[in-house]
Amino acid sequence: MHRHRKLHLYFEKERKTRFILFGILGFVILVAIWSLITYTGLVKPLFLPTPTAVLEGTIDLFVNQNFMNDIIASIYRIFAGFVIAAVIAIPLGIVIGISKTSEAFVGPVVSFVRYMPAAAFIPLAILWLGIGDVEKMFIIFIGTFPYLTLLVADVVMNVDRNHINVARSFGAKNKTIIKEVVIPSSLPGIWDSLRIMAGIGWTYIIVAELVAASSGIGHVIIEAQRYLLTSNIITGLIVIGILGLITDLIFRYSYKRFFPYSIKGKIL
Amino acid sequence: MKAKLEVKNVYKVFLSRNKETPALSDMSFSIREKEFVSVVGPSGCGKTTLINLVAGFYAPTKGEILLNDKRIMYPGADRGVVFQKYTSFPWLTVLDNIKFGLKIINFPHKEREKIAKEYVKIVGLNGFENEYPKNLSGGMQQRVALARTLATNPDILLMDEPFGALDTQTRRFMQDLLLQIWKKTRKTILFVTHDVDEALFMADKVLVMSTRPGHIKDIVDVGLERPRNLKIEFSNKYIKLKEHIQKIITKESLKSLNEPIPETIKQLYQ
Repeated sequence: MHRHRKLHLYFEKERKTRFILFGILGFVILVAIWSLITYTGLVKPLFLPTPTAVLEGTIDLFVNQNFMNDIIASIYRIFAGFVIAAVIAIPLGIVIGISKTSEAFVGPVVSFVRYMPAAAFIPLAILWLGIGDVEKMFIIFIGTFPYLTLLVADVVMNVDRNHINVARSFGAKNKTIIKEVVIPSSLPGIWDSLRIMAGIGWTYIIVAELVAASSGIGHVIIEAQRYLLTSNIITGLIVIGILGLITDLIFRYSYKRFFPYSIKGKIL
Repeated sequence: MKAKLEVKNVYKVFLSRNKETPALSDMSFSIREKEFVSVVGPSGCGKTTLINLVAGFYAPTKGEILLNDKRIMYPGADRGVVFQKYTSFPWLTVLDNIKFGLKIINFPHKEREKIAKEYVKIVGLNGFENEYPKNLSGGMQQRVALARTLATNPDILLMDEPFGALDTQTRRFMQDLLLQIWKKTRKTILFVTHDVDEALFMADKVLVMSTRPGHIKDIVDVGLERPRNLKIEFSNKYIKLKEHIQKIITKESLKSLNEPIPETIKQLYQ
């Protein structure tokens, strides 16, 4: 038994190391290919600058052009827009998931809006709200809210009927069943839906900032395009990637902390 | 002795897509206080429907069910249900799972802990109080479910093939455990199973159901001595009872089989 446990721990550790190694390897290969085609002059710097050029450009952005402020502006917009979307979508999704009537009432409208691309709302949003933070938040909201609502509704609809029957067998009324079974049972799934939609949120903020903005990562990218500063475009993309990764990590880590009981995990 | 549970001329018809499916047809029986009654029958005969009716999950189409002379209308904590599926709540620890029913019936906060711990001991899960169900085997999860149901001290236990998903060894252990608990708590138990051996081994009385739409085909008084152990399964009386019940079930099963059976097999059952 003891031996077995040790062996198990060894494999567990090895699995983790392997996981990290492979994670890094992916990036190494990417950078290697990038270096190969740029340092050799295969691709012109105007189209794709070398890694060193991008690094220099990045330092310049941060030191001389207050790039940090743009990053903070983008984070602030996405955070606010997404929180508002979540605060409305989660309860609404739960209600849709629970009751057939409300599904019939709200469901089609939500689905209808869902099929309209958020980017198509940008002209309207500018008309209504200008090009400030509120307009960006609105785009984030439009882009994530319908999906999030339907994802949450789906999670709620999949609550184990047997669990509900257990509560009913003790004589629990609907309100109690929702509070004691439906919500706790749905929380991990809802958290996962948030994680997925937060990633999508990053897409929309950049789109919104590309169209019209005076700050933000998307604004930096579109400015760079105007002045043919390709390296700044690359920097912007990398920063978005890193921020997305961090968002994902925060969600994943907190998932493990919040839901230690979850059986979700590796399949093989 | 007075009847604890009375099922009187109960009919149940399910409606789906304009089609009527009769599940129970004129079912009647009664259970006395502290009695252990098993229900066996061919698959699809309405055993689970019976449990759900007594649990109050839905109402009979016709007839009535009385518990302590009161008509059953809704689900309630006076009946404790143990399901076939593993139903421990994954987000609650073993102890919190067992406290769940007490919470639902608004039992005083302070005493919940005490009672739950008592039942942890009764089902033998000491040391696992703070584990989540994902770390438990199927048998242990069923013990959690049993403890959770017992904790609210129901008048009658309704068990719907509770050990049906367990392997043979675990199943036997669970049967012994349940019999011991029954002896200690003297609950009235209605125990549904498709396993004739299990029905006979556990019960005072075995209700044999017909094929769908189900009704009572025969009521068998088991009358085997207690405490029950492996030995009784080899006694003449046991074997006779088993043959008797098995014959009814086989005959009933044949009636409801929708698939064609070779004549040679049919002859075996004559």
